[in-house]
Amino acid sequence: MIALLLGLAVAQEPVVPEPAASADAVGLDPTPIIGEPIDAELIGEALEVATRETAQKLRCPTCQGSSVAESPAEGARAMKAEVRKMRARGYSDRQVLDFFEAAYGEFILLEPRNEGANRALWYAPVALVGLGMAAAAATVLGRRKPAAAPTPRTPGDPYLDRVDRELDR
Amino acid sequence: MLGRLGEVITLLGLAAAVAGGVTGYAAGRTGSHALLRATQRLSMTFTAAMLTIFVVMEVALVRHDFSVSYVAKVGSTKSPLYVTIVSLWSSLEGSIILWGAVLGIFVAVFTYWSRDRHPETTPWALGTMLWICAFFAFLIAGPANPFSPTPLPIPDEGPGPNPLLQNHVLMIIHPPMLYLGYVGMTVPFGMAIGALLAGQLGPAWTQALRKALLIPWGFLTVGIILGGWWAYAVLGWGGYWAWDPVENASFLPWLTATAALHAAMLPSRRDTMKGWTVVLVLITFLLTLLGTFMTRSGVFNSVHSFTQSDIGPIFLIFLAFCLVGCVLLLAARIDRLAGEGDAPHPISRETGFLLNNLLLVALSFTVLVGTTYPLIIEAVNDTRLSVGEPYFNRVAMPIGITLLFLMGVGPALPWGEASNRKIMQALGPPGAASVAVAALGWAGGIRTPWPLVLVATAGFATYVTVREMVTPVLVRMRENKESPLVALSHAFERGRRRYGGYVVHLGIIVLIVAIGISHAYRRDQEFSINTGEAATFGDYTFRLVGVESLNEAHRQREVVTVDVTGPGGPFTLKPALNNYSGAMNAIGSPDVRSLPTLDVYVSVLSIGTDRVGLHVYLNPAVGWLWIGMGIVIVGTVLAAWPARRSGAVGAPIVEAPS
Amino acid sequence: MNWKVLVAGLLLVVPLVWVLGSGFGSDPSYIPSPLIGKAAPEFELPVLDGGGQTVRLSSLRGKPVVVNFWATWCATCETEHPILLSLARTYEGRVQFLGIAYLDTEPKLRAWLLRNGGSAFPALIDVGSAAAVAYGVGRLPESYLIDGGGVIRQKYFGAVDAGKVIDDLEALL
Repeated sequence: MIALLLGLAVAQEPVVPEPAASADAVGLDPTPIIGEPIDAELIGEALEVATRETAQKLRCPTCQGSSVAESPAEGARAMKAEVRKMRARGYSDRQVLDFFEAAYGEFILLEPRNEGANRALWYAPVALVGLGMAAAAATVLGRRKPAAAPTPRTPGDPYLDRVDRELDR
Repeated sequence: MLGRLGEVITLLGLAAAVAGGVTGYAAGRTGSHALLRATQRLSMTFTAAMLTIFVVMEVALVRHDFSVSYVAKVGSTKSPLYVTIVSLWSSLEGSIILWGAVLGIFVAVFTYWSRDRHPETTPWALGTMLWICAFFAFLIAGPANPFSPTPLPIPDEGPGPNPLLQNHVLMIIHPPMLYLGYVGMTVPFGMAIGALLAGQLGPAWTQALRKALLIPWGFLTVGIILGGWWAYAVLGWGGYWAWDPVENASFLPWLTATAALHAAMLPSRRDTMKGWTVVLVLITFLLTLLGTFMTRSGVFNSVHSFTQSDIGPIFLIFLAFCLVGCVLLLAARIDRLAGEGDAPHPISRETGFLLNNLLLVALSFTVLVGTTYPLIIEAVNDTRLSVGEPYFNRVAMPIGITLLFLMGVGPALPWGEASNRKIMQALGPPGAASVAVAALGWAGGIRTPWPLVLVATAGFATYVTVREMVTPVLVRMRENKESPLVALSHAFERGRRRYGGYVVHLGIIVLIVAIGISHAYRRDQEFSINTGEAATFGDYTFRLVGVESLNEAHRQREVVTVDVTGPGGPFTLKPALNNYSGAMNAIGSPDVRSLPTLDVYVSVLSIGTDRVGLHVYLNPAVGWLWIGMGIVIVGTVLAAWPARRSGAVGAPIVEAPS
Repeated sequence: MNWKVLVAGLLLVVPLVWVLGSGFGSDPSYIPSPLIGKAAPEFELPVLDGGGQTVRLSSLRGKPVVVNFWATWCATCETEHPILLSLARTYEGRVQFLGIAYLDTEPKLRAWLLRNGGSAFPALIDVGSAAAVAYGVGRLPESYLIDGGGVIRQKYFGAVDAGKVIDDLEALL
């Protein structure tokens, strides 16, 4: 897997934005908060894809609404650079999200964790569609009179008769 | 002076609306013709007042009359004339004037249309609309008064409108379009309430209701897409839709209005959906109120919102009153509307409509829950969280694709009951077409499951839609021996609304595909390069030619010139950073080259002493969004264009709901 | 009267209005920090014009630390600066104040400090913005109060309120 990613990176040779390389020397160590990196180290195109994957799930704190991946705000770009640095070192998507959540709170995640009360967010639409389907099924099947003749239509509607004739062909 | 004039005319409009509300309901109760006439005159008076204050405020803006508080708030002698004119809707108080003027126009049109129709329902409907007018006139007169005098000393210069809003021409047309959509929903709402109060909903009223719904629906569609276009062209993040609360606020009524438009097609044929249609129309209007509340209350924070306004609580009271009022009225009267009718056959066009409504309502409910969920959680246990793009995309995509599928299945199925053979005949060819389109997509490089499902479904729906448009023409040619053109014009004449509807469907198919593809295959890359240097991304090479500073009256621009080579090139893009006086940070303005399959989009991140930071996006299919919008506009106009009045008023009009 | 419609409608409408109304009291841009009560993220950052000298947070254990995130492009920071200066002078020797400059350049910082009455405490430079991210900095200025044991006790949004900071510091000392 690593070899594949590296191979991909070499083949593509993208222009990597200048990393805050000097920061690594004096920067912060996220390990106490989220543990050792569990993924492969990334560079090149694979790193960009990974950065985008994670940054898309983070909210830009100063812009309200748009994600860190997209926002041109300076703060968001600093956060994105941090995401890139962490993914490069091999921290997983989840680890980086956890790191940001520890600093900013759950607010920073654009998609809330699917646990606790938040489950309602996912179950509510499913439940509504289910209920609606049940109601529709009840209307369509239940109230049907047995052996009902083909539903009568308002007579004397030549156009509709025509449309049906057209469909019959 | 102008301020005083504006205030007096606003009060006049308020008085007319209140009086009209009273006489309208009185006319509904007594059936008095004189009272109805009075209501109509009062409604026209309200309209005149609103249009007048619109003009008064424009005059004040253009003359830079800083003694008017709103002019002092958004005006600037440095702004170009067009910016000064449109700054009327750049801030809360002014935008309510635009709101009032648009409301006035819609109510006037309804007053004129209904002048000698439906004497039992019209007074109730007009009265209801005028009560809503009264509320907005009250906002202009009191809590959001834009005409109030500026505290002394009167300044001789103002800050100018919000720089973000000055940045692009779309900002001139996008808000009025959205307002036309939002405000226009007042008319179908009034008509639905009128039907409930009068206790009857006849076929002619339903049909008029549908048109009253269709027109603002069209504006809302255009307003929403233009809003996305504006975000795309101005905000510089390469996207057009972020599921921001205010965007969601405009999407919610669009969804329910779409559902209502479809539901309203059934009662003309079967009475089963009457009550449901009315419910959807009421919800649509209530959602426009909710959307306005979201934008203006400061409760939700968003790129688009007007911050720090104190009309929030007043608006909430009005919203609560309307919500509870609608529930009570529905509970009291809905049974009178419920018609008799058979349940539809499980596999029929009626069932298609039913499922369409179910999914649209489910989607709007989901968006509503997602948008308000952070507020709910905050209220319940004081935690802040966000519900954003990843959530909404995840939920909206399957529902969107299913709706696309129904857009194909519904029209393919016959009304009423059909034999299995007929159903197979109806669904077989489009099914084959969808497989063919999926294969084409695969060959064209679409290898991920969801986009493949999307294009296959789109192929299905397109086949059916085109077949539905072509079949009547072919039948006429064969049966009546008409030439293709004559057959087309006859078929079109007979079913213009039906054709309009199908054209809208085609536009929506284009939109959904463009959204899906652009979302699935967009790519981006950041560069930091020197003048003369080049960077490569995808098939494109970007060479930095240089940076030049331009001083304009109201802003200072730093324009970056980038030469792009690659498929569809070479071309030059000029993204810029704009510094507005009075704004802290520079605002980027990206530059886009729209190619048939792909947009090349460049925005400036930073301009350093020697290096320029660029963010480059390759956005496939985005250009098709604007094309889809154009198709929807054409279809809506076809469907909504006034028909020649034929026969007696209220006579059943032959129509083919589709 | 259709009671089913009435009950279902009210069940939907009343909570909605309640939720919308509950939003009024609060400021949507105020986000409580999850870091309060947690160990302050460690950092080691270079001092502006410090000749390569760095400051490491953990080396300051034993007395409270006030960390202020600021920038020259932040307007509120200019009004906040005199408050911080006077606080730093009042508590000199008892409380360590630190400024961390976020998304800024050294020449701009120098000019800004010259214009705004100099500094009474080290101005650190957040290279690569790692510290700001670890502390969850959103809208500047933001400040953190860290106790002698290295635990974050308070987060102040916007310009610090001198009275509030003094109360919090007195409680710690």
